[in-house]
Amino acid sequence: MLSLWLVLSLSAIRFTDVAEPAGLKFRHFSGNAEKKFLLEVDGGGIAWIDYDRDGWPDLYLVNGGHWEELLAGKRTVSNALFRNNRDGTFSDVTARARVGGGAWGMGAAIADYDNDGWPDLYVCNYGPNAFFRNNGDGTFTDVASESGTGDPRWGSSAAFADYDGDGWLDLYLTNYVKFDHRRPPAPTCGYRGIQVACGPQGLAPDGDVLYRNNGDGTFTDVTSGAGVAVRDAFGLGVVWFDSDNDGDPDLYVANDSMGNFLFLNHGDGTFQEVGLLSSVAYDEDGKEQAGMGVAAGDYDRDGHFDLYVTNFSDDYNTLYRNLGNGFFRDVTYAAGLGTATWPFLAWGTGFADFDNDEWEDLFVSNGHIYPQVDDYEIGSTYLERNQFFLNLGNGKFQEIKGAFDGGGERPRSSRGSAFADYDNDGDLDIGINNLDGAPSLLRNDGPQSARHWLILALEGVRSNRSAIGTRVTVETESGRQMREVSGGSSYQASNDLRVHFGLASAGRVRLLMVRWPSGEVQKFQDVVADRHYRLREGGELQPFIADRHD
Amino acid sequence: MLARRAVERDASNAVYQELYGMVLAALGKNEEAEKHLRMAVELRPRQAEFHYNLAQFLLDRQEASGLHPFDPRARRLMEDAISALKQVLELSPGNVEARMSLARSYNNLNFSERALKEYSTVAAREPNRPWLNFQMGMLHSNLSNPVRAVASFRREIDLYPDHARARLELAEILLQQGEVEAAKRHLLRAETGLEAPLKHRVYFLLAKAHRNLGHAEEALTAVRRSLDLCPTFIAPNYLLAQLYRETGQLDPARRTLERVQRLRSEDSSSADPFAFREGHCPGRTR
Repeated sequence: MLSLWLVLSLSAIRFTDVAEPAGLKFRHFSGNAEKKFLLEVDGGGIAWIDYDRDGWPDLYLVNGGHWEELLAGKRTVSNALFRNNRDGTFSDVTARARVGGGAWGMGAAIADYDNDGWPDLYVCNYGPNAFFRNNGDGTFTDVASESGTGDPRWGSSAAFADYDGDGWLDLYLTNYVKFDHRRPPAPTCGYRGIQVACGPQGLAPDGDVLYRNNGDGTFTDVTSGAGVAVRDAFGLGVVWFDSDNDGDPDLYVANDSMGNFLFLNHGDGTFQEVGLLSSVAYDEDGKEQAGMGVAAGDYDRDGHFDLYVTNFSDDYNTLYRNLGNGFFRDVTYAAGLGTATWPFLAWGTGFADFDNDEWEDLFVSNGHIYPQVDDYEIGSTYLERNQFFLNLGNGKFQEIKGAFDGGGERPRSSRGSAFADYDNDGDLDIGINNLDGAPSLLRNDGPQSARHWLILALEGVRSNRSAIGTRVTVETESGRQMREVSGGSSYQASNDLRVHFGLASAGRVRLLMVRWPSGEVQKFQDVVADRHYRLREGGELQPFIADRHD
Repeated sequence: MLARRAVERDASNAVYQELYGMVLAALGKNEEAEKHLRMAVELRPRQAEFHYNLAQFLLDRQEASGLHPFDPRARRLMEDAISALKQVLELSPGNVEARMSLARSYNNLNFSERALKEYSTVAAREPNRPWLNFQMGMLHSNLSNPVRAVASFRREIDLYPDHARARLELAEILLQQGEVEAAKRHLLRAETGLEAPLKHRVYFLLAKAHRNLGHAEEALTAVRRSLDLCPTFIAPNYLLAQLYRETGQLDPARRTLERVQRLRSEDSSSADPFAFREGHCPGRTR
């Protein structure tokens, strides 16, 4: 039975790149083609944000800049917000929304920080970060300065969570390196004997920041007091997730060329860094990796969130299985994910059930940082294909190389990637920001319609309005699955805030359980599949049919 | 002296130039030697042997210099050697030694696919050549092609069952692919054939194999043997900590992790994968 299911899955999954026909007219710029400096290779954030609350995810793409303009103190390139037209196409509304940004951009995170019902947008920059408050009328206002969140350093990724349980979303921000574009290090460093751009090793790491939301539109830097200022690091990716199932969000940070951090939330406003003790700081040989993107998901459906971290080439992306006793184990090779990722320099990633078979798969966006590798034969190339790994349901994954045959297989230098069912057809699609290029929108054209699904949009009342940190568990004949609403993950990215479940052959969910950050737990029985639902904390589950423009 | 006189007498004689160049090379007068060896090649460009001697001289010089292959000076020597070796093979396609040299040079300069192509050509002529399949296995492995690497290592072992290093490399890949019992068999065979510097890796991989099989005590014994041979590599120390933790020995686990961190801060080579692979134990005289 399993093998039949497997054969169906292998043949079913297929993505088609529809960025161009969908009207995503955007080009990412990141300095010069030679990539002499570290700043030119790292950017490319992306976020799904339903900024107009019409039930159709809109797309935000972060742009970099031109080196010469940076030196001259100007920026003519722009980030872009694309409104979902509800017919498979998008319209550029950047100018009206006023979210083009003024600095060389990196990552983006989405959350309703002021609990007014409208999702807001935080953008990490090389230079002061931007915090675009959604005015609810199609426009945004940058409140970074007045909110106290305009960190001027080289920010990479950001993620929201209500770590102190006060109903207001707090913000963690990774900062990468101390870097001055007016005095950049000469590109004379070596990579496998090839002369390339320097960094991050040899440069000074910078410190990350934890901002506590004061509930009045301002934030306070609590990095030291909360215990997350353990040491400066080359921070890149970040994700909040409940690592120990104690009901509060813990924090995982991927650091480039240094041990990664796992901050356990004590529930009293403080954290303890346990990356080394929990075995998620290094690979299975205790080696530092070059952590880029991060994903949390319960891929083996054992009720504990596992971690996946993307890394540099000549190394593997690491799957840490949560053993449920405070410890993790690097199971990358056992899961069949070791060798397949070795030649690739990986960035964005995420667990998601793309084929609706009840098992969360993995997507990884790839692209090297050194164009010079193309002059040699070292098994890596500058432009690289992205990777889709199908979860076989037995602890193993298998790469499906034909998954992107619909145009998405073209090698690129991809960076951030984020998921959403943008066309509301019940399966998850993928947006990718590509360095120095046009974006990809990988529309999911599988699986077969025989597989069921469920999508849930949540709204907190006592909890934060975005419901970030809410855990949703569904139970069907085959067992349980769980998700958490995440306020940022992958690499410089944010997925759609709605949670998606593939249900395979289950036309109904036996039990749907929602554990809100406030502690309230709601249960619903016998829930009909293949529908979008809305749930307000404490309220009833409401089927929701999004208006479509056909 | 005789060779110098011969060149002085007839500078247009390629053989004299070649001989004199070889003598100078033997005396370590490299600049002069190179000049005369090049002259010989120039005078008799169809003489494959002259190209070959020039190439070997350049490669020896590069090796003796102690320079990293990517130092511009070393690189120049190797690129010139490659040109000379290509000439040899154009004139004498069956020259296996020249082809092996060319393959090694390509490999040293990060041209793995070209190196593989040359090794494959040699394999077609001399399929039983010692170390050849091993070298190809290493290249396939570096190019992230474990299936071909396994096939090459297996061919090497079929031809030379006592090739312990090939068994070691094969075992590592098999372990990664989940073929734990097969990996263990090769490691046990490799244990008897390898010298001390590499034995630490045999025990380390054996420990991993036992761990994957759920045999924690055997894994602990093996990793301790690895650490007896080299206590300063991070990988076995880290594995020891994991094993302590998995067997409920939390205090030793914690202490071992502290040691891991200490090693990391004291000596960066303790985490160097190359040193680990080749058995260069950090902090010990090689």
